[in-house]
Amino acid sequence: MPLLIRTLTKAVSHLLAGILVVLSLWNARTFLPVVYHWPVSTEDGWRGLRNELAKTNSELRRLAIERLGFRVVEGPAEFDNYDYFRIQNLLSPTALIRESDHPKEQYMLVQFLMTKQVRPLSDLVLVEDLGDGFGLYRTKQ
Amino acid sequence: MILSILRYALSLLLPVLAGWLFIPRVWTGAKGILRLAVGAVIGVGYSGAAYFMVLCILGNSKWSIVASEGLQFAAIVLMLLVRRPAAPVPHSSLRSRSLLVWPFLVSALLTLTTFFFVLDWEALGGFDSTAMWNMKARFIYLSASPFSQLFDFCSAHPDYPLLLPSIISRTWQYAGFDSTQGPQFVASFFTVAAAAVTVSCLRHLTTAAQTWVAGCILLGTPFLLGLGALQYADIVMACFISASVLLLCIHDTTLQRRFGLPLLAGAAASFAACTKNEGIMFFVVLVSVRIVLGLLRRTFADSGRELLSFAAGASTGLAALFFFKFLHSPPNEIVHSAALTTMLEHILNPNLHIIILKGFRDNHRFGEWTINPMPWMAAHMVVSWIREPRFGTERTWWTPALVLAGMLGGYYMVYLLSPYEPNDYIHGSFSRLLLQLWPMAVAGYAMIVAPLHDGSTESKTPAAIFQYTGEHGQQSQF
Repeated sequence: MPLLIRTLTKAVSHLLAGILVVLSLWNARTFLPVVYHWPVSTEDGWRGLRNELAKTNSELRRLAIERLGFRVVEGPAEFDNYDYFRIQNLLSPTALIRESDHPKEQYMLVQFLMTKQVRPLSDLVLVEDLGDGFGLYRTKQ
Repeated sequence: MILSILRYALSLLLPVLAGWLFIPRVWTGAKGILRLAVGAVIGVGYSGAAYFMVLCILGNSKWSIVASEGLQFAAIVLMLLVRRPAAPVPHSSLRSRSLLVWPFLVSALLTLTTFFFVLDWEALGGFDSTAMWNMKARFIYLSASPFSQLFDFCSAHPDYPLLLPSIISRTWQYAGFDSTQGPQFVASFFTVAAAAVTVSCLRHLTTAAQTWVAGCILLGTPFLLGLGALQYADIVMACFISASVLLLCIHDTTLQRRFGLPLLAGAAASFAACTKNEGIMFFVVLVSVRIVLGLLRRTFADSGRELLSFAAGASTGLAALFFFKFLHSPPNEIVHSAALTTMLEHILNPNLHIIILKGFRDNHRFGEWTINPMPWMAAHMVVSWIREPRFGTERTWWTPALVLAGMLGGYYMVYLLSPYEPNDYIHGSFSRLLLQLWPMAVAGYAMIVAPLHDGSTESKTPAAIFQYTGEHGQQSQF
């Protein structure tokens, strides 16, 4: 290969490597201003929900309930999948079965999403008001 | 707070120590950061796989930790008692320095800071970690019989292997409670390990300057650290995939045909298979690629021994996967719903092919870069090929290149044959699948642009390597 082409390609190669380093540094800094927050470790939605479900968790363990149904009332028609899994995550190892997946569970956890007030339901028997809009019910025989 | 962090650190310290002690017994060339990075990944992988296997057999996390920690402790004691003399390292040029280490360090600082803030922002992790990984870990940790309950509710992907939940559950057992710090700790470990393994392995495969360029590209991929901080398993996959492929690339350059590196590569590949189902595809693709390369290179005897060593390394991970799939796992949704007539319909449907190809095209910015580095990387490779065409099958980059091609082909077929709506399926998963392959792809690019070894059989003598790196290592930095 002629010396000129070899020198030229070597220079272009160095230039491209330099460009890649610069643009990588630019990419690395992109999200820092977006995600920066102070102070750190503050109360967030997840920690709040964990506190709301503390009583539910202890009651389920006291009653040794290993699985129960889950229903949302006063909520959007399509309850967010992510919200369901957040609650399931916090209540594990109790299996939380969505009513749409399996409607005939002996016990039912009902979340009153908007009013946060537990009230009687026609098809269920209220066992206990667990606070923060969560109620434990039993299916009518 | 500090005490719990120390407990989480201790849960990873033992496997890291076991891995660090194990590495010199199978690979004398690994020193410093390379030994620590590979040892940490292999140690944590083996520890998790042993825990996962005992869990599948005995069905209880308490027995799992007793058995896995007992094995680990015995291995550490054995390795401390039975010492081996250190062998000389042939790669003298690895001490060479480059000023490009400074941009790499700045990049690492920016990345770590961003990572920390994302980690703090999303303590519970993203959707997958909430709905799958951390939740399954919680069932394993808290339930007396996790398998009877794990598949009770409609969990996402119940057939996915449980290596990552096993590792998380193990950290909680060390801490004594299930806080969000456990998964955060594991996610941080694998994100740092993915970068450390890739960069430290590259120091054996490319020039110092090109190593740092590749490291900058890797750390300058916001989606990589974002998924890591959101505690997705894709970063764990990326770590194991990169480790197994790059260890085999280093094996291709070694002078003495000892088979410790394929053993480590086999272990890492099996851990990928124990992490997510696509890891099983990766395992099959990697083995196929190595067989094809063995045939092309006409190194039949060496390839046979390499495969045996690879299988020995993979045995623990594969055994755990076998027990899970045959004793507990429900059938895979795609495989279970597969019908020959539907598959034929899909294959013969041109619109479906167009949708998949468009989906592939739309994901070309999967790294969430402000400026996409891929066109520049492609240009860099073309320029280096114009300068010096290097296509012989002895080249180290053939393994990552063929694995990349094989995996992309495999993903194409999965999208084509799956019963799901293709647009949603591709847009919901393909960027993460590409990210799993990204560290390996960046390493492949670096090996093409500035190979440390010219790949010819003649050069694989100590004298030739010293001569080659002496002549070209500093001159042809890129």
